[in-house]
Amino acid sequence: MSTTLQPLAPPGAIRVRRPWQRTLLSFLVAFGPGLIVMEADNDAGAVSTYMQAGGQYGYHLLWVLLLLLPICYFVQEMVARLGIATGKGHAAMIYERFGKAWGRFSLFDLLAVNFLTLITEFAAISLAMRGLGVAPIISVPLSALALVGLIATGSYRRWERIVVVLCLLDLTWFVTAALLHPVWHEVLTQTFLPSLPHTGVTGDLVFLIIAIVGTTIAPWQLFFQQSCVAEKRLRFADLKWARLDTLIGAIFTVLVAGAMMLVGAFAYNHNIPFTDPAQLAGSIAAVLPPRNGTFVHHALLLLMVNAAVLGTTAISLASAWAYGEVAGWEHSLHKKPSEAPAFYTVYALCVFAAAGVVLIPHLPLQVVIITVQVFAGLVLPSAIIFLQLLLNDHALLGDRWVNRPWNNWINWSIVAILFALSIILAVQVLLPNLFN
Amino acid sequence: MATLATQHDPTLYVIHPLDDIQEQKCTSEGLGLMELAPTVRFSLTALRVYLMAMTLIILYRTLSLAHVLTHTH
Repeated sequence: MSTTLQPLAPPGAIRVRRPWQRTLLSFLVAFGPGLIVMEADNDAGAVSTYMQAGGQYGYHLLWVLLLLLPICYFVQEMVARLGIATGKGHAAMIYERFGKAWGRFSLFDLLAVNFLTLITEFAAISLAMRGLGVAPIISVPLSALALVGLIATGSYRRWERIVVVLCLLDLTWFVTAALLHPVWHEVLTQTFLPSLPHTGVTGDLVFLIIAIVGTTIAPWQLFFQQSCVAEKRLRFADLKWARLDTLIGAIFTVLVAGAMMLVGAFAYNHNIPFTDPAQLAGSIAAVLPPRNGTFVHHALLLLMVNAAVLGTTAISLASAWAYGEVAGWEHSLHKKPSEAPAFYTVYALCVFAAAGVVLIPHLPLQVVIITVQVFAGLVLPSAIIFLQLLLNDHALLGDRWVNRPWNNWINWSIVAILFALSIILAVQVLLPNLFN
Repeated sequence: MATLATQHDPTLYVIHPLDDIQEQKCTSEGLGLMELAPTVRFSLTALRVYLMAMTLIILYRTLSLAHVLTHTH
């Protein structure tokens, strides 16, 4: 009688019976960073910018989102590839390959843009919760505490699961936009066959387009996704799933951004003036039938809070990871606060400082929001240049992980477009009447 | 990430990346700094100057929008 030795399952392995189950599960275990980085980018500033774009120009700027979809994907794919190949964050790689001076410069840019962006997140929480009847003095500190609590559990997996659920809550944007009955054939026409608004090319239009670019692809995303991929310890074999995750995230984020623009376009079509999304929520509710109006009002305000929460946790983590990588501290969500105190302190400082600034009375929040998006749009090309140089580093990555020539063509084209937009901005600021 | 079934055991396994054995990654150890051609080095320096200038322009624009620079007579 012979005995057959059954192979032992590797520790921690999940057993499946069918190849398709293995494929699906392999994707699901790698899934997360791509969706989170993209959807967190639809943060409070994005809500405001997209709604303003819809409010000022109706459906006329939807085509910008379509153009930004491949740009989002190609840029973030490079980051995911670099993260998987090196197992390290973006800030660490810049320090190691370009030296301290460039590293500090990049880190300073990142921390400055991130901090300003965090202010806009808490500004949105303040506005939205005020619309729901909660005073900022209560809502802002409480949300700051909750955001610190979200990461302080010492478990990357727990944080990721919670944040993925928050990302999926953004599906509500589609329901909200549909309730406002957009003119679908016009939406499709303006998305695929764009036309200029009746005002023509003005300084405000250019400023808004740069702001949309700045909010759709932000510098923190490069740092966040690479650190997140390294934190999750994605393997070489996970690259195809990381790419799919990033693609799904890019498509989802652009669709959600489109829904936000449609909500803004409702104001444009009904001549509703507004200064911020929370005010718009109230104005829209006033012209809709009571039941729909109440739903849209509450949904928009809660979605604003959700957008701000997603943005805050991702941006603060991008800062804390980047600082930790450079300073050489323990910088991992796998560690408890007592094991990585400096990492958690940086995160908490980012959150509480931004929350504190928002409580300053008479802060011109809308100006801060738009300016942050423009600033992010300007910093982005330089961040992508470092990424591009790293992805062409044969000594580090070997031939397997470096960019292919077509990657380089696409990415240099993206950098050229972003630079062109930033130069147009500079000209517009220096010669404000040029486009008018 | 996934182990193939053996002849006797049709079971397939999927391992979460956090439960898997860590891979040997590409490392910059011993490589030093990236070698940059003089033109690339010059371009990066120009980029730094450009970013500083643009930051000042944005600051000016922001202060204008916030009416901080408005003169009162």
